[in-house]
Amino acid sequence: MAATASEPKKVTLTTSDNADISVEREVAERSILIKNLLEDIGDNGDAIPIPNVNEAVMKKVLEWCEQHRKDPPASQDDDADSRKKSTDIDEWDQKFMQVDQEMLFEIILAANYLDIKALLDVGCKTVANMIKGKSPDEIRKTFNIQNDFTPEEEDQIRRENEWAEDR
Amino acid sequence: MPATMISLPCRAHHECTYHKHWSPAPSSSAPTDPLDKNSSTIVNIKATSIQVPTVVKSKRLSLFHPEIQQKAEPAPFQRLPTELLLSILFYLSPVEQASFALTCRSFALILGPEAWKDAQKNGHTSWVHHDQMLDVLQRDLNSEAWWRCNECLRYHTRRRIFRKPQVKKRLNFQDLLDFRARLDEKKSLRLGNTKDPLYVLDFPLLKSVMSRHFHASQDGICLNSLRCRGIRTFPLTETTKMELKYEVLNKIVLDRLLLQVTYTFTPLRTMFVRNMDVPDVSTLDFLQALDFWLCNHLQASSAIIQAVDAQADKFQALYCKYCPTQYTVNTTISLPSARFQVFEIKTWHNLGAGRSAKDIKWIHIARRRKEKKLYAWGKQNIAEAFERILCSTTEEFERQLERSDGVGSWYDPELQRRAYKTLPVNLAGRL
Repeated sequence: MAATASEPKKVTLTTSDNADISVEREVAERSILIKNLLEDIGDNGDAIPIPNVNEAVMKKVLEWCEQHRKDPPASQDDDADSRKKSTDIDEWDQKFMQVDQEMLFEIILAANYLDIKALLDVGCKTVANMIKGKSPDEIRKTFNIQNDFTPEEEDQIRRENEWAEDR
Repeated sequence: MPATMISLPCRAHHECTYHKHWSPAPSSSAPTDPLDKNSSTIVNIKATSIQVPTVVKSKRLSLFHPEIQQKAEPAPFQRLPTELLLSILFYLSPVEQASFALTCRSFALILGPEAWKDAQKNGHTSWVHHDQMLDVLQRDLNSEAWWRCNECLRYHTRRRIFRKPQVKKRLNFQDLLDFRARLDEKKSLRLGNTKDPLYVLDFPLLKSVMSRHFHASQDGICLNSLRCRGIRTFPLTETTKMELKYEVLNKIVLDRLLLQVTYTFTPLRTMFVRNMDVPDVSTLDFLQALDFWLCNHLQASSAIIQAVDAQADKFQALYCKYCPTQYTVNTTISLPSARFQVFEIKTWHNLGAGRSAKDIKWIHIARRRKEKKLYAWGKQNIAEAFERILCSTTEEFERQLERSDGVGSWYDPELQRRAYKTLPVNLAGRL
């Protein structure tokens, strides 16, 4: 028991590529998924499998959790209201999100899976900021999206929305 | 927990709504997990939510367009499930949402209709958004192929039909109307003295007036530029002078250009002397000396003589034999001398549609002297058409005729029944 007082409790997470990551319980509990798991099963020291997240992404996510360990948990009520359309991101998070796109979307997926609301919001805001003020073509270039419309389909969409017509 | 009752993999997942989109997870983690049953359900629900959209997407796409296969690896963006796309969309303005949904087919299918509703003008949205959307699209649309129409608030394709008239050189208005430069040209209608005409009209001028009528305002020149009015005085003797007032009016009637010219010759005393004989010059003599032409074939003096011979009053129309020109002569006597006659001559010319220089009416008008040929006059009445028909195009005339009930309040002496005065079918048919 003396050990618990001096050093924080640790949990072990097993990622999809079978890597074990040991992390403080408080940090891990930023994830609602892990928190609920731990509450349900009790801490018996077993490794918790996280089958949808690989090691690199998990480390990145835990880095964020470490930084935000002291944040007050978002209450359910102000959920709708506080999610203003503002896309402001605080400075540390901006730096944190300066990763390649593959990683960015992996983080968003992981945040969604691990149920870390604040991280998910940061991720979505980052992507939204990348889209802002761009034309469809510029968005495609930014995200390397293949334009798989046929020209006719594209014209049809423009026609139906009264943006353009071919006469 | 009820969720644990569903065994995984669910055998009935094709029918079962709960597992409709289920697809096997790459590593079957849940069953081997000794921890609990709860985690297994959560894991699988989450797993489905992540993998569903790609599966559904590809299925839908192949249904719509089996021939188009997705060759390229989808971008990492396109692997996001719908609910995550929606939460990203939450931060975007309507226009940004709309352009985002325009990027690829899968986004268009998932987000399109909802997102576009806010950027099209017929929906419930503001025109401002529609306008902003056009601004955004402008960056993508090739300006060679599309142009933005301010009236319809949308883009149109550029086609050659539109370009053709624009390519044409703009007419030089000054050149067209400056007939002093064209004195030597033979093919033209000259009114007045041939050496010093009052009015000259040649084919390029006629054509440019009519092309504004047939095409649009950027084409040709204005009809009113053919109008003209003036006074000339000719000294006759020490005590008299001759004043000529002329006025040219024109009108497009049923796609033909009609010209009405009024000449008034008035002899005037400039000096009044008593107890002295002053030689009076007859107006007719003056006209003969002046060599004044009403059209290319008809001299004013011979026109007056013909009118006197035919005992025509001022309402009876006489015709030029060689071109569609019609005239009336009205003679009044001005004091103090009986030889002082005031002649008012009115002529009407039908210049035709002005589409080609080979137009039969124009050929007859322009031919002069020996080249002149007899013009086949029917029962045309240019003067009446000029006065009565108010429709500049044949189409408009027909439309009005259709709309009218047929019986007007004016008695038509030719038809011997009541008709609309401004819709004379018989006149229009012969013009």
